[in-house]
Amino acid sequence: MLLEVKGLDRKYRQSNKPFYAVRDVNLQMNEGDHFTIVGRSGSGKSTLLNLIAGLLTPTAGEIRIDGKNMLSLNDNEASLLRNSTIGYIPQEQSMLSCLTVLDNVRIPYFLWRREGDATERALQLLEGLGIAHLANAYPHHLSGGELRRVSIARALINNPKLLLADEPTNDLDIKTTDHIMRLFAEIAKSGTAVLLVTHDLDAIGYGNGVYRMDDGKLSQQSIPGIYASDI
Amino acid sequence: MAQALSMSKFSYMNLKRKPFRTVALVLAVVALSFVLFSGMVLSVSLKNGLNNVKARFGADLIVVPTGYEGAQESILLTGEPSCFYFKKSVLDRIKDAEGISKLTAQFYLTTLGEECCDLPVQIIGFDPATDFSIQPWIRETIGGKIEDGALIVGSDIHIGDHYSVKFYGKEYPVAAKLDETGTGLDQSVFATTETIKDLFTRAKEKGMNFLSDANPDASISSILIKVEDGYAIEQVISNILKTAEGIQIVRTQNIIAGITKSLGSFDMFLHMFSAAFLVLTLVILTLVFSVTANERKKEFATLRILGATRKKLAGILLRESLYISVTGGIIGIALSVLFIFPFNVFIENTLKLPYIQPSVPLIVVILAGTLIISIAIGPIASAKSAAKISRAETYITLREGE
Amino acid sequence: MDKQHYYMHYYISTLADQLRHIFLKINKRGVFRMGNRILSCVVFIVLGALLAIGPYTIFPVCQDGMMVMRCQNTAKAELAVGTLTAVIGVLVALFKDRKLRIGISIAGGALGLLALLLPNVLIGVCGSKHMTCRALALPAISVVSILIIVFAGLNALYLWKAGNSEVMSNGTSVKHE
Repeated sequence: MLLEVKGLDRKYRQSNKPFYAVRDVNLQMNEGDHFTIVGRSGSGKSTLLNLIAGLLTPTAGEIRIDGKNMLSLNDNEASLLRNSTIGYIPQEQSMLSCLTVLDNVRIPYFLWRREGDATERALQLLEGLGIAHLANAYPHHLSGGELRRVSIARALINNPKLLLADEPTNDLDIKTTDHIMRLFAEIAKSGTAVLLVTHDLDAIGYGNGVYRMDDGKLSQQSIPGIYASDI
Repeated sequence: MAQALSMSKFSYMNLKRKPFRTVALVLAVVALSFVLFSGMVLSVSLKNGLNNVKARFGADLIVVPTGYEGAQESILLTGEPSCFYFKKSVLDRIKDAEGISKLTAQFYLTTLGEECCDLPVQIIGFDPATDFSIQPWIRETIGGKIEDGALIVGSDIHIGDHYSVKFYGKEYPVAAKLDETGTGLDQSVFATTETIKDLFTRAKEKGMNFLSDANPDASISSILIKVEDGYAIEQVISNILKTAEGIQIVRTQNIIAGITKSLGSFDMFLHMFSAAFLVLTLVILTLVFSVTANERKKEFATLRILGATRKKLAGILLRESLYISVTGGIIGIALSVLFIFPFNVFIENTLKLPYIQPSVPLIVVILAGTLIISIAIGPIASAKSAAKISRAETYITLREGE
Repeated sequence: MDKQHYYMHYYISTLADQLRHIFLKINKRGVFRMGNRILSCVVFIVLGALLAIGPYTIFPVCQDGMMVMRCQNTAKAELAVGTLTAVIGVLVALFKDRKLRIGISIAGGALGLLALLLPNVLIGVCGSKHMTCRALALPAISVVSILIIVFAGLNALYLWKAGNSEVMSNGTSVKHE
């Protein structure tokens, strides 16, 4: 099992009353799984993703990635895990403005000591996403959709086992949405587990599992006829 | 492009991206290291000068004709040549005054060397039999006696390759050139009474006019006195004044005290200015780094997401500040060196205080100290921001940065 | 972060942004795109002017008129060398060709070297340590000469490297002028 989430809670205090962004969530993923979590704004789906990515600390529960208990890791171990095992595509624009697109894609490779310079792989990824011609451009020259694709390439540079995407098709047109969702499906097929959260209904149905998040609680859905696991 | 993207390269690119800000910060450190290095060298040079003055003024009191107290002080301090005379008989009258340990007479001449565009020179004739002020100094330099007809010159006197000086048409051999004292004695020439007589004769032959009472056989210019232990200087002065008329007494202690006071105020000003500058630079750097770190919260959050450890994030900011301080420190010291050493004579002339540059090893120590402070100031200024960045809860930071 | 801190940061950031905005507005016409040419022109002209008129004004040589002194000859020679250095500044601004500007810079460096040798070796100044020509003019001329040599060298190096990077890049780098 690649990802195992048990009894996950994230509690806040709002005017002295406890508020659960995430409540008693359980989830399991294997390699090659492609799950989508849908839900309204504020349902806690982004919070769940960030908990899994290790960016937030849960108030209760357990997260195991690749057999390792996330909560027992120190900063170094957690960062290494985040760098090499997890690929995270944030919802917000998160490029480093002083670097070119190519360097933005490459930078996770250099955060930990590795051989070589990943240029070839980076260019391959950019090519696969159709933006290789923008390799030497700077982020402020790119459109939202192009930046999203750079984000995806960056998340894949270290061959992660688990890919997490927060609203990856936000602000994208239908054609691009379809293109990117098919891409995720391909990534899943190649063995990487893909978990994405979205409120875009056009993005459902490309994977092999759909979940719904409501007021912090996660429930599995079965939407007949929309599974497209043979894409 | 196909280079490894190390963290140092990343820090460098961050600095390059904001050239104005980077240059401004570097300039701040340049100014700081300039002020620190120059200030320290100036301060040490002045202290050296003062110590030398204390060592060189062998006499406690100098007796001169009335009205020439100022002129005598100028000879000692600034090297402005003067000549004045009183009768040799004064020496006989004074020597019996109570409280005098040693005394010796000196005879002054002033002249221009015949090298093109030389400054006027003070010639001081001393009596080898009784002198206690100049001979110890000479012994330090040449170890033996000064040969007849030879001169001893101060450090500022230009003597050319043949180790001689021309006065009144005659070449006089130079027995030794004394070490720098930072006083007016550097621009003086010393000769025994015999040699002075020769100079005087030559001068007269050349048609030089001296005051009628100027005659090395019958007159003297000053009397140097060492006070006996146990006697108060004031008491000895009044004893001396009782013995003869038409004389004034210069207290070398007063001269030294005067210099010490001026030096003290100047030194304090230097130190306060340097300290203020250091604090100001630290404040400016801290503020700018704080703003910088705040602006880039989102970028740091992103790096955290991509797997950078807290230490690495702090390291990026610290590295940037280090690059700035190292660059600024080196440039500042280089500019300082370019200013303070070539212009040291000009500085000495302007300050009008005894000034002797520190030795090379000491300069190296001052350089190292300044460099260390300048290099440290960047990381110190950015430390708080770096710590803050590494502590911030990533997700919250990212959302805040939206 | 408390409120005061926040506002302080905010004002400083907006000030910096406003300055940048103004700069970009001025630069709309590309005035500063000729960065290197303008900079080298200004530096050579300023340093050349210092060399030429400095010995007569701010760091003067001896003024006494009795006989012609070495330092006065040095001042005359520096007038010539300084003027030529200023001319170098004009030339470096006039020509666009990078290789030509490298050559002109090297010539400027050679002039700097000459300016350095004149008071120190070739002609000299008065012997006495405390005369203004030795105390002030000599070090000032030496420092200005060294600055000219260093700047000329760095400029030539920068232009040469810029040329190389143009050759190696694959078409998307900024053209260096």
